[in-house]
Amino acid sequence: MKTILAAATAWGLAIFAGIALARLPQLRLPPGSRSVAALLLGGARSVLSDDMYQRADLYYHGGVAHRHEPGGEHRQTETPTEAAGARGRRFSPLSEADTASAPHKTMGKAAAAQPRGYSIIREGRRTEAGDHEHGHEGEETAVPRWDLWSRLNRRIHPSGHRHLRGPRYEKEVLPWLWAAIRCNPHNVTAYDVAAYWVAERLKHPEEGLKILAEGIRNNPDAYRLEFTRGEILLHMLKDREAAFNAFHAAMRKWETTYARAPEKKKPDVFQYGNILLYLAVLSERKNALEDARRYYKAALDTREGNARKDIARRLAAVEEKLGAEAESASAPKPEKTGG
Amino acid sequence: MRGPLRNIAAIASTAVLELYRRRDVYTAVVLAIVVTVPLASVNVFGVKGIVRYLREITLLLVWLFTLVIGLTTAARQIPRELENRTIYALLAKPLRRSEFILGKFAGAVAATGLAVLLFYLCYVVLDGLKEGVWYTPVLPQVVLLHLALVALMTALVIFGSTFLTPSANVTCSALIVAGMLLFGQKIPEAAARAVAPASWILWTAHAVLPHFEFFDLRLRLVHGWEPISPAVLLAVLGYCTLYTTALLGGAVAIFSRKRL
Repeated sequence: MKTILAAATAWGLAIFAGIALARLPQLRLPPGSRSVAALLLGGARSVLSDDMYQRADLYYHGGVAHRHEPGGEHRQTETPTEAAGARGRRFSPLSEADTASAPHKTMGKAAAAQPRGYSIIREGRRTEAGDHEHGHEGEETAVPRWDLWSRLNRRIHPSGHRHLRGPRYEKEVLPWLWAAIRCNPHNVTAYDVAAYWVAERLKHPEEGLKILAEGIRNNPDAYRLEFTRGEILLHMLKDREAAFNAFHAAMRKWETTYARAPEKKKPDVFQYGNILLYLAVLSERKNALEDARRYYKAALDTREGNARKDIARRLAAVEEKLGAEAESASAPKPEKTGG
Repeated sequence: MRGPLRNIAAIASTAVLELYRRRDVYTAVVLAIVVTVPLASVNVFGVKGIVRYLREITLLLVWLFTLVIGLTTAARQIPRELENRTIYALLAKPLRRSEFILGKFAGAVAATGLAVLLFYLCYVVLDGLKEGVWYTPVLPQVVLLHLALVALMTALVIFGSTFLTPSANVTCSALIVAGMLLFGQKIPEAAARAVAPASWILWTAHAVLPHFEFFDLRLRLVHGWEPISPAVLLAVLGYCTLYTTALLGGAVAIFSRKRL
């Protein structure tokens, strides 16, 4: 009886302590000070954070480690990061313009076809089928016939490939992203993916913005977080002005990052191009055609092939509009003749 | 109840009583609660109804505590009787050495098995309160195979305690159990990559060592995979029965020849 009472007391105390600790403002660390994770783990927290992030990926695949096979059936949307990258089609820099005119559509597709965005076949499936866990067991590699134990193991432990689908299941990856962020507040990818996941997959854009605000506070130079903030503001909250400011901040941060560290061999040019394209499209929508021309010109150098041609076409259209405006401004106004 | 069975039950009941007198299980339950309840109340980006991380951590604790309780309970059975010299009084009665071994095995399995059931009851309550789902089809299989693992692990420890010192027995058994749970599935892969004689050693280990990973269905429970087929379940239970019988047979054979 005493033991049961002790267990009940311990339970009650644990709940009370958990709630109380979470609410005590005195226990929140002032900005800039080292977090508890930093004090306890030191440099290891980065490794731990990456491990937590990998765990989110594992959860996305129903707990089964998945080998990525280039060109395989499951090429699209393989990891939460890649799923976040799959915004290519839904969140393309020019999707604002998609509804405006036909040429933009091809540009949007071209942008989506670039490395960050896989095509979104699965996104479509998800919309059709609602909440479910897509996948199947039994994708097996060869096991010798005589090896009974391995054959039995294959039937006991799930080895198939599946993805979480729908808000009911997709939220399950979040605790590990949360833990990755708590372990290392400088894990920009974890912030980026967590914000995307909460905002876009679970349809909580305000919560996604909160995650990004924290991420930006902890990583003031992270242009990717400003970029994602801009995307959420633009595509989910339809706030073009705030989105423009976010993309502008992203552009400045990108330029600062690579200007400050020119030794970085591979600047994220594609992302820079996306930022510029968003700025160009939003400027065009505001009828700030000079700005739009400037951004399109800058974006031209960040793309190759068809994507470059599309931007060039878009630039030509803006220049044509500018020319027409200049022409109409310079044309002598017909004098009114008195009757 | 017939003579041998009555003897075995009498020996077993002492083991069960001893475990619950020592209160290890309650400590484990309280510890699990202290860890999992604050975890359950973590606010993850304001999103509610997230359960899998909690299931995983709770089951990890259940398994960890079961292994510790099971190993220590089984490892104490025979050495304690020898230390206290109570074994002489027991064997002076009409009790065969095989009955003594089987009684100790049954007692350790029953004691740890009850602890397992208690842990799973706590798990079901926590999961049910958090998710609102109180039953999943894979749960009975998980519990059944966990109990089978307890039986096999206890048989291994009882076997070890007939010829090893208590500390060596616990260490070796823990290494085998943990090693097979963690790496059992990967041995063939490692053996295929290794060169002789390492590959021979690995293939032998794969063939001979008890595959504790067969009994681990946590992944299916945590991530909502389908239950295993009845044929596979029977195969695993058959494997457990054969291996346990072999280990107990070995233990009885060694203990019967032992000079006390």
